[in-house]
Amino acid sequence: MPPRAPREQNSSSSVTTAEIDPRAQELLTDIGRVLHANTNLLIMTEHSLNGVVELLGDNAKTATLPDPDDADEQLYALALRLAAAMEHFFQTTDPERRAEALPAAEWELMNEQPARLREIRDAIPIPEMRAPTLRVTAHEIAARYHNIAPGQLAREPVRHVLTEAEALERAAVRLDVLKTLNAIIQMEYTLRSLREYISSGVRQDTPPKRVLVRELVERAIRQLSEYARNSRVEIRWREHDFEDAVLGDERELVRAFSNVLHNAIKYSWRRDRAQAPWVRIVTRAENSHVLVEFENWGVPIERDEIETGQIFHFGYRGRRATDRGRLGTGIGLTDAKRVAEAHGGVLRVDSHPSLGGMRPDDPDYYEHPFLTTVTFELPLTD
Amino acid sequence: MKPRILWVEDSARSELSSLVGPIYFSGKYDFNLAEDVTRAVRFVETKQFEVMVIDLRLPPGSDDYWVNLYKQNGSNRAQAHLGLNFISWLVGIDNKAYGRVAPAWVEPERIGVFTVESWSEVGEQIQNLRVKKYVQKTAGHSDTILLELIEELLNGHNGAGNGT
Repeated sequence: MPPRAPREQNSSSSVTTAEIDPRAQELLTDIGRVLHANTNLLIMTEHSLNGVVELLGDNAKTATLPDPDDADEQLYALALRLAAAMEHFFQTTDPERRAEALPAAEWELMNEQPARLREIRDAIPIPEMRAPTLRVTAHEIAARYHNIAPGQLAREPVRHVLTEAEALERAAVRLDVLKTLNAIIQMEYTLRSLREYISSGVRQDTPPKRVLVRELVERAIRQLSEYARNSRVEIRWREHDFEDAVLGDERELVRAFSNVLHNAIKYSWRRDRAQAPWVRIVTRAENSHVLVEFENWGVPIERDEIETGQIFHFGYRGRRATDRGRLGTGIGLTDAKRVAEAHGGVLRVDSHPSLGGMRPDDPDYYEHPFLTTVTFELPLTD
Repeated sequence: MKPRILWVEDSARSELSSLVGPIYFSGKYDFNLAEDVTRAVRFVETKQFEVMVIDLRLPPGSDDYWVNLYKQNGSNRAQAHLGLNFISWLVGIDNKAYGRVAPAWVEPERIGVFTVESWSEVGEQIQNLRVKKYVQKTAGHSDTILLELIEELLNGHNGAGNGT
């Protein structure tokens, strides 16, 4: 629960405001400012990186993070081209003249690079680490070839290596920038949501009002449309004419839906190469309740984490949550559950292998894609 | 044969991914990465490493022992500090509970701690583990920080362990 500072008594416990540690009070006052400063920094960084994206020849408004496999293929192809250019250089230049152009130790290092570029996939088995590694490698190679004084070696093989090194560095930088932009957009939402969560304890109570579930879902989708676009995840929701309503705090409910949708986007994997990953939202009424389901296909949540309720613990991130370097705070689900319960509802989580025949004791059980559904069940209102 | 390096770090794919480039380009090391404690244990039980660089906020992986320890410590990487437990096991201080003996080749002098925690938070515990080299992760470091740490450990330059 976020701290509820200005009230005499916290509704869920007997702790009064006066008894709260004064440092917690300070934190409550200052945290909004700190988070705001962080948000500003993220926005500033995003704008700067958009400039880099444009400099690299993309349109910052439409550029999206490429599919990781496609990006890896592209970088590998460029690495092979650079390796070939370097091998050609060594075949066509005279060793004695090379020795005059750069120290022997530098050539020794350069001589190893083609094989290293060709072996990158075996040597760096984690794809996310390959792009920065290739960026540094291409940059260092280019730096050394730039140091070759004019006239010491035939110009064409040197230029060829430089062209290929710069192409590889450029592609790796582009990928790096797009990944960082994606992380910024993701964290910007997370910070915003955290600020909302914290400030929900000090905002004045607003009387519950009738809100259309359709509007809540639409607002959550709108909030995350840029993140979804940048992550190349499609949001699928069909019930645009769903007219049932719930009674509650609109702001809190939008934040809760957004948190869950944010997770669904973040933890989606691509199902096949032909189409983008998608998140499915289903809204329906059942037994005087509204059900809002957010379903994604990708990162599993382990069974015991659901059964013990661990995934709802404040600050807890699932064991699989850092898959492919995904960032997070472990607060979104805690908050969503609290909001659902404060509205007389529940939040349910289910995560199971999308393929049949898998057994939990299989060593690679959690290495496969899971279908994860987070469902809000809220009382209907007239 | 190239010196074999183990980096135990769960952020190597994301914010720290650029630290590997200089190591790979140098071509001097056989570089290995473990992203959780279970995998790190598997590594040290099957290979010998000249240098190990270990984060303190680590996820447990799949081994029940580490999972339980993680749960006991609040299921939070920051609180759990499984990296300290892992080092403790490695240097032979805490063998009994785990029921597995750490390899005899491990030397605390060849272990470096690379963590976001400040020296005032974890320095005493690191010293108790006889680990001499500690570097705090901060935004101002260059992308050669990991390479420099590895080289200092290999060359036996035991930093004062006072925060940088």
